[in-house]
Amino acid sequence: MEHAMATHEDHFRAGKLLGLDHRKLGMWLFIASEVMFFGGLIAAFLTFKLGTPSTDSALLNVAQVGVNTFVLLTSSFTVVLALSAIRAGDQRGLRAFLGLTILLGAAFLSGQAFEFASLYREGLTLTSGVFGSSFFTLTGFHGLHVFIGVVWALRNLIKAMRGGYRAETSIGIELFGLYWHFVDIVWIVLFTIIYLI
Amino acid sequence: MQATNPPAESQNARRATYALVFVLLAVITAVEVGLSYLGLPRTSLTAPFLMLSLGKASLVAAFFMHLRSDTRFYTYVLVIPALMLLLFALLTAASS
Repeated sequence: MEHAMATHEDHFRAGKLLGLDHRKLGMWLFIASEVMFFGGLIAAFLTFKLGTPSTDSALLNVAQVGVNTFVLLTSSFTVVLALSAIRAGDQRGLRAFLGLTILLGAAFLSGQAFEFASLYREGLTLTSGVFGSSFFTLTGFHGLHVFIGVVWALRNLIKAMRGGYRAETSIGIELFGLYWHFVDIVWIVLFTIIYLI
Repeated sequence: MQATNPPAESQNARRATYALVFVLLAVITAVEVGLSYLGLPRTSLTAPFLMLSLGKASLVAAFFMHLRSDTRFYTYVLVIPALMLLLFALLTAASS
């Protein structure tokens, strides 16, 4: 019993109770809460879409948003390459892929801003009806998550330029990657339910 | 099982896998956009679009988020809330 308690305490002090890294477990639990957050918004959007069909959905440009989707998928690829680089001790690769991620994230946000501006010109606004309200709320909150991710990536790049990461201390990049990939998954779902079906 | 930091040579193998997953994601997205312009009834495409979307999301979670190689506990943390949400949505839809 005493031995078991000592092991428990040792794991707690090492930040690995249950054999799991606390920071990583915390990020996964945060992601679980985000599933609920976006799940609520998606449920509301689908309820409005199916309950009160709107012709406003014809204003959406699938090809243009498809390109933006490709941009975000590419950024997920660069994030995982950044993690792979630092795990192999490649500092230059880490900086390059983080830089690319920031550029791609900014490109996605620019594409979304362009889309929003086009829709506003067409008369689809946050207050123009149920479709506009649910569309801008859902995609806007996703855009906010991408923006936070870009800021986080920028902070990671600054730290990387100061040599703040090593192969054995790459958890910061891994946690950022989990967040970024989750935001990517949310967009995969949004692209389907908003633009395709 | 906790994931560890593999050596450089194994990172090369992982990069090849990541590249393959990325190509698959890009191809599926292109197929989705192409299908949406075929002029087919939207209702007939709903199921294929949902399946393709689920496939893409699973690829990102399994390979980019490393759920395939990481401890199973993280998969449960992600999947259980999603299933509960789906169940809640279905029950709400059934009762309305």
